Amino acid sequence: MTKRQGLRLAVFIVLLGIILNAMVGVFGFPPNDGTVSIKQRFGQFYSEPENTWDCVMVGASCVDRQWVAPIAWKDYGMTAYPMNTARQPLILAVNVLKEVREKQDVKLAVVDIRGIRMAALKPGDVQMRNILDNMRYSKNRYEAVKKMISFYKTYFARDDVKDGEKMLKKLDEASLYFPFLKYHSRWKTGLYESDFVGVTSDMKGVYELKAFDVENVKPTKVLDERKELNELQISVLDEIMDYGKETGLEILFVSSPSQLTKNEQPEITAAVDYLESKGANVINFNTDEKYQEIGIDFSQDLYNGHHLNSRGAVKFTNYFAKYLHEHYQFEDKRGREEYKDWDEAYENYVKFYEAGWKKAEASK
Amino acid sequence: MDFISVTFIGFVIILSCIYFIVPDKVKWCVLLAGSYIFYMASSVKALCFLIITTIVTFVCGRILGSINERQKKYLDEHKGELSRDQKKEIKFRTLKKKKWVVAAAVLINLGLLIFLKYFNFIGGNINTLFGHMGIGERVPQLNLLLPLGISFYTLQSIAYIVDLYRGKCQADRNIFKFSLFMSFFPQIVQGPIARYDHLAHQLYEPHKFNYDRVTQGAQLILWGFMKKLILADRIAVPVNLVFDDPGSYQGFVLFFAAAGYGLQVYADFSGGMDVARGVAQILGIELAVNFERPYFACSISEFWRRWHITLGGWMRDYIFYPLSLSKAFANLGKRTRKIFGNYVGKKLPTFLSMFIVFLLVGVWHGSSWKYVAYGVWNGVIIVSSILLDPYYEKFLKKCKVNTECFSWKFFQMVRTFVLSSFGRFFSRGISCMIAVDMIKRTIMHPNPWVFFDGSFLELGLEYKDYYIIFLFILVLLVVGIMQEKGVRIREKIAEQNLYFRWILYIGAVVVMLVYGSYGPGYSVGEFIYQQF
Repeated sequence: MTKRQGLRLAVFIVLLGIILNAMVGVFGFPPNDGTVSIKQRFGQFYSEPENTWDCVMVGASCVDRQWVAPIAWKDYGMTAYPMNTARQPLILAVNVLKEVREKQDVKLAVVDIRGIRMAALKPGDVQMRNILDNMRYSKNRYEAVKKMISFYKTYFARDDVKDGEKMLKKLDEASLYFPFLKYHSRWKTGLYESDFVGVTSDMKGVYELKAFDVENVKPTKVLDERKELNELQISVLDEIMDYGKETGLEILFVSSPSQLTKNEQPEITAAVDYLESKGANVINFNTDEKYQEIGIDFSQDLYNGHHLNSRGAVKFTNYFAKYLHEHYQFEDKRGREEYKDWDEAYENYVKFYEAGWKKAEASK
Repeated sequence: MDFISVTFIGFVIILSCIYFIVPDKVKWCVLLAGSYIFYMASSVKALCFLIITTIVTFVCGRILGSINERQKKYLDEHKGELSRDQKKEIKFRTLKKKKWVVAAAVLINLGLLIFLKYFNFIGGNINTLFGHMGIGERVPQLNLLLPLGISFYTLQSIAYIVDLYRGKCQADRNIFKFSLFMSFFPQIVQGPIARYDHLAHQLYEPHKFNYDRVTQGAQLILWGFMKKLILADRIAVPVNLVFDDPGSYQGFVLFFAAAGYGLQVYADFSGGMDVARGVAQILGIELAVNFERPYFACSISEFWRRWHITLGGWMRDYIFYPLSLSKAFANLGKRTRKIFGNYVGKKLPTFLSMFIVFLLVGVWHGSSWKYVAYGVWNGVIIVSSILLDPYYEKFLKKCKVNTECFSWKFFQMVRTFVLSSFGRFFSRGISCMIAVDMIKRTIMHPNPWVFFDGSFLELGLEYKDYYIIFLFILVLLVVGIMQEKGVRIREKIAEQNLYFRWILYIGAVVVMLVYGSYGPGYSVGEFIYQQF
């Protein structure tokens, strides 16, 4: 091979690599109605300036339904961003935190523990992909996939899990490592502008889709029962606590406010007890006292049993932001040039909120 | 190790790098090591059978070689001393000895193949027969391993032995080099079935890195991947659906499935061949061409000259000619002339040999009656077309049909396509009886409305998939027409501007990755001929 040929080959390989990389980016996690907010949230995370966050919130869908980052910014100058996904596997909480800390030197991580219930720990394809397929290729992502696969196998190998064998057969490991294998056939279902140009959140991760829906749900009947956690659940909680201890990251566990059934409460309450027994900081928002303090109105503030609407989110954010401000002394960064987009996010949010409720009232 | 895998691509890249880096003397050793690693990656146990066949063939080859040499040496030494009859006598004795060696080699190698591939089939049929006779099942069904590529390397070994017997080539003296000939990784899985005089010296000679050759090889691999992933594995979805539940379909849907299976096998097998030839080409080795646009054939016999050419060539050289030119068949021809007349009597040895060849081609594909029927189907069509040829010509003359124009050729191509597609009912059908039933329901229940009522969209593919299938067939057609006209496409591409070439290559990679049928929701099937 002559030098010229070698050079030509090298240029060709680089060009091919660039085009394939772009292609892999396009044929990725689909941004449809239900998932665009996740894609926006991750897109925004990767585009955020480094070390500008105070706090990150991880957990299931309830997190961004209840947390309005622009309000906390407006009131206290704190930057607390939700990095949750729908039914986020709690087993991946540490990996999400690691991913965040690659870019953001957060002082506090708020971890929602709704996902600790055995039923919620059940790994589903969509739930795994909500996180993994939105993470950029890195060592952490590789470890997250590996851990998720291992957890998947452990979970479905348990005797108390139904259809375990069937689910083990369904697992497609290769496409978890390399999502293009799954999404390359999206040419059939359609590609959108956001697939090509990427999406970000102009309200710092505020949830939009059903924010103005209202469902009159029965208030939670708070019970005193506990269901003993099994070793799998304990290992998940221990891992998060250990990560906090090892890295010096403060972790605050919360049980997000919502309507909890009698089947759901005992496991979550047991988790709260367990965390407290281990000396972790925990707030259980699913108590009569907390509902009252926040001012949750179950007839107005939720759009379904498990999620607050934007009205409930404002109430919760007002309450929780005050709590964080009082307990964690985040620096007030309002008025600083590098945080200008947080001001814009608040302005966008106000417009969004007002227009949303106006439209909702009009459609009644 | 599957051809369609990242592992295989990585394996080829690493092996090629090592091959071009090491000194010339040991280049063949790299190929041998690579071939054995490739084979062991599929099955370590099966390797024993490959080694047995290699050793048996090599030893028998050496014996044949030494017999040949001794005879030649003796005749040379006693050139003036021997009379013509004495020479004839020596040659006759030598031939007799050689026959024993050939018989031993063929018996062991073919015996191994027959035992592993056909024992349960034969045993099952004997048991059925015994059952009818009230004897009960006597032949046990064994859990036998079918080594990868055994149908291919066994034929290759027999060809080598027979070629030595015929004095067509010299016996190999190095068992390790010979092992490479027997196991060369791109072609051991599904051919092409190589001949010693064509392949061996290419394997043993060192080849330098050649940029143009490597890029051309890579293009061929890419083309093979496209055929397999875009067409074969996509069309496999409705084909599998219909053939797995044939009772639910009839008429054109069944025909579509059979024709689709034909296209699937073509794209799959010829795609695999392209990958094999491309890999070999990168290493500087030219493998035999196995396909020459079979769907442009105007008759079934031409179809078989264009389809799986190396198997056809093997059957021609080692079955058809030895049979049709044998004394027994010549005598048979003479005797039957009196009964059936000159034309049939003259042709009978050819017909019979042809029929046997197609029967063997059918059986070679697998151990099932459906493959026997597949062979019979092709044999009957070919023999009857030759037999009826004079009448057919008379009929065409009477009807004043112009047989020199394109429309006639096109008609012949369509006819061949339809006939070969009907044959696919046997090769893909679950069983011979089900295949017959499918043919019956295809013919008896024509249902043209299925083309308009969305029936085809219920076969596991969306309409966009059909677009892709249609477009890719169109591409195959254009490429085929160009090749038929003698255009050497890869060379033509090489003449184009660099920018155009790069756009073409990158475009092909992108098209393959996006439109290929793989990943969750699809199942990339192993190559069909790998199973044979």
